[in-house]
Amino acid sequence: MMQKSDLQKLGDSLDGLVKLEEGMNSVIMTYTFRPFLFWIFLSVATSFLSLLYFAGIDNSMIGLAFICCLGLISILRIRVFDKCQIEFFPREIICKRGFLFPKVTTLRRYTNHDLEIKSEIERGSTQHGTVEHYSTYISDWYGSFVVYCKSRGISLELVNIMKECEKLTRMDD
Amino acid sequence: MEKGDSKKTSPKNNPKDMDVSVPIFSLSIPLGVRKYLTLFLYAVVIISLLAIAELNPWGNDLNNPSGLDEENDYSSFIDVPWAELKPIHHGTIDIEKGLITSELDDRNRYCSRESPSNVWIKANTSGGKEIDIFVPKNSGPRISLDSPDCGEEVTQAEVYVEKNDNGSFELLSWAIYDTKPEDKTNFEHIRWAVIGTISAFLLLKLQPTELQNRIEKIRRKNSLYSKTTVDEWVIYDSWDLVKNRDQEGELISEHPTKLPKTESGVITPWIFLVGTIFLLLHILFREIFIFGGSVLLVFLNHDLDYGIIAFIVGAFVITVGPYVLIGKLFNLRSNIANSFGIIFKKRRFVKMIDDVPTSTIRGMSIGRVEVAGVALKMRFDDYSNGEVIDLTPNQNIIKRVDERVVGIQNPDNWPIFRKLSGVKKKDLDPNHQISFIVHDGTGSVVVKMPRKNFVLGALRAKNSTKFSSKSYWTIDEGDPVLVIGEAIIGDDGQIYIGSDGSSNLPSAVFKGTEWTVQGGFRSTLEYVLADILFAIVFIIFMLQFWGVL
Repeated sequence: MMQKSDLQKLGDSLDGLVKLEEGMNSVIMTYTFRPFLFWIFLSVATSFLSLLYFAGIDNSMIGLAFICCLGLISILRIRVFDKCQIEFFPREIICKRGFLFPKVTTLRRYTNHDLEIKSEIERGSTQHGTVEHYSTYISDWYGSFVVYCKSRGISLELVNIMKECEKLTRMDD
Repeated sequence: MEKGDSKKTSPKNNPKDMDVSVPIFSLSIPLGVRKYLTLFLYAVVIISLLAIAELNPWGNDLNNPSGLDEENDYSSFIDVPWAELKPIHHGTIDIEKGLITSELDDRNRYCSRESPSNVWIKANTSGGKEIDIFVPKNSGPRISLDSPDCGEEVTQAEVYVEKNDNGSFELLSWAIYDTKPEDKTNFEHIRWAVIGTISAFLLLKLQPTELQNRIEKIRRKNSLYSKTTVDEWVIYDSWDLVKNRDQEGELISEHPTKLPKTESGVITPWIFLVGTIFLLLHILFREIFIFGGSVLLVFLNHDLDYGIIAFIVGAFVITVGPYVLIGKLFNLRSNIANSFGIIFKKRRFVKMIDDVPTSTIRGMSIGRVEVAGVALKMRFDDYSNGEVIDLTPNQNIIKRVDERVVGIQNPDNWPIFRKLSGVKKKDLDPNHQISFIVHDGTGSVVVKMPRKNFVLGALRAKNSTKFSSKSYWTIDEGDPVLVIGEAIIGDDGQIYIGSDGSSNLPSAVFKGTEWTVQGGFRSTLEYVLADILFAIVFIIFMLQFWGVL
């Protein structure tokens, strides 16, 4: 059985981005990626909407702006500021993304199929050159859960941590 | 960390923990975050019902505004601050000359008219009574295209006004030169009926049955695992049978014969929600079918911005609209079967489960049987001669996939989208025979049933990308199943459970344990009460429709 200190050591390897806790029959991994940006964005959006309100703009326009802000948050969230929690249970991996009402993805473990945990690079070209997005993803037969990372190193390290957590909570064969 | 199954590790695993007394009435509020949403929606439904009680659309003739010299004799059951029973009057008024002026613009041949705005005016009703009317901002009178030429004096107008408490009026709409003003009536009850119906409908979806609630509590109290789907094992996960499928020994712990009985005549808020929905729909249908949608039109006049609606409808029509709508028609049958059809099927299922006693596989006799256990994939040896062998390397026994590409459901129906689609037509064939093994600890037996006999329960997973989404309903290896069918001796002497055409009795394979399957059904008492409520509301509506009431 793994000790609490071992878990902490594993989490510390990513400089505070990952927090590992031992739950009841489970390991809980929390990944926080630039959380301050979310609050900055939320403050700017709230100020912008207040400005529109006090400037006497029509309510329907304020509503439209509000919907646009929500849309922008949902588009930016996963790549720019993310917070997710992955709970490793012997039968299931429960992945939650979001602050207040998290979106839950449940991955199941099967005897004849190991969970796929790997690092990926998405390449795209812009006018400034090639852009690369680094991510780590975990998947079963049906669903997958993607975590975007700042660098390739972090993405690879995250794969290691996830694999460790997965191994720790694996069922007896 | 302790590995292995909960059976060995949990000190609480005792069937006594599941012996919960069955109440007569259960609030059945869902647990977790959904609880707050449910309570909020209940508050909205209650607010809507109280508002409707004040407006009293049954006692008040809200569709026909009374004359300017008449008094409204509206009645209310209750007075609540968030609704207002507005006395609306309609009639012709005499106004002072020069109140509405017109001037011909020579250059543009345009007649510009000026009417009062944001001021009080004096007017006389056709009964000769002098009244004060407040004309709000931007409320010019309606004028028809064939109105008289510029310069003609305006001395009369047809108005819709709302009466204030002090006897003065506030203008809602007006028209001159024999033009009809925009219709105004009391439509507030429609707004509350729409809000109430949507909230009550969402609550019906959120409201668990009493048994589901009880199961969830037992799971939280006893289970070491987090269970996210309602069809999973309640406490005793018998996953080890997937590995030890050849063992024949003790019956699995969560077998129906080992668990307390679940039948009950419990009443939950579900029946009140059904009653509320019938009541609110009655209000809406009465407006549409008996009053010709008059108030509904006024409601639309007030509450919708035509520009935005036109933009949304236009964008939908020129993009994917026709594909989505025709795609809906293609899937109409399965959609109805999966939503409304299931309501009608449910009672048949309840009867089916109640009628057949659960037996162990070792003690199973030939004929009608009900067995419960773990679903396992067929191995090479399990297949009979001539059967098509499924060698796909997956854990899946049966799956249903609902795919949407840019909102188009199951695009396999569309040649242009066929390449994009992951769902093939053969995966949807209702008569396709599916074989698997069910193991209850004492032994295993092959089950052969057509796809249409599988009841897959709750959604297993949903994957979404920017343009497409896939929803999966599945039975996977290791999942609990409840099988009701005929135990038959096959041509090769092998016993299997199938659906026998000669007896004509229904057969089914449910995903879940007997508890979770029954948890999906309401009590018979509630179904009967729902029928009675529906009959009452329907008879009242038809009597109103034929003019008897």
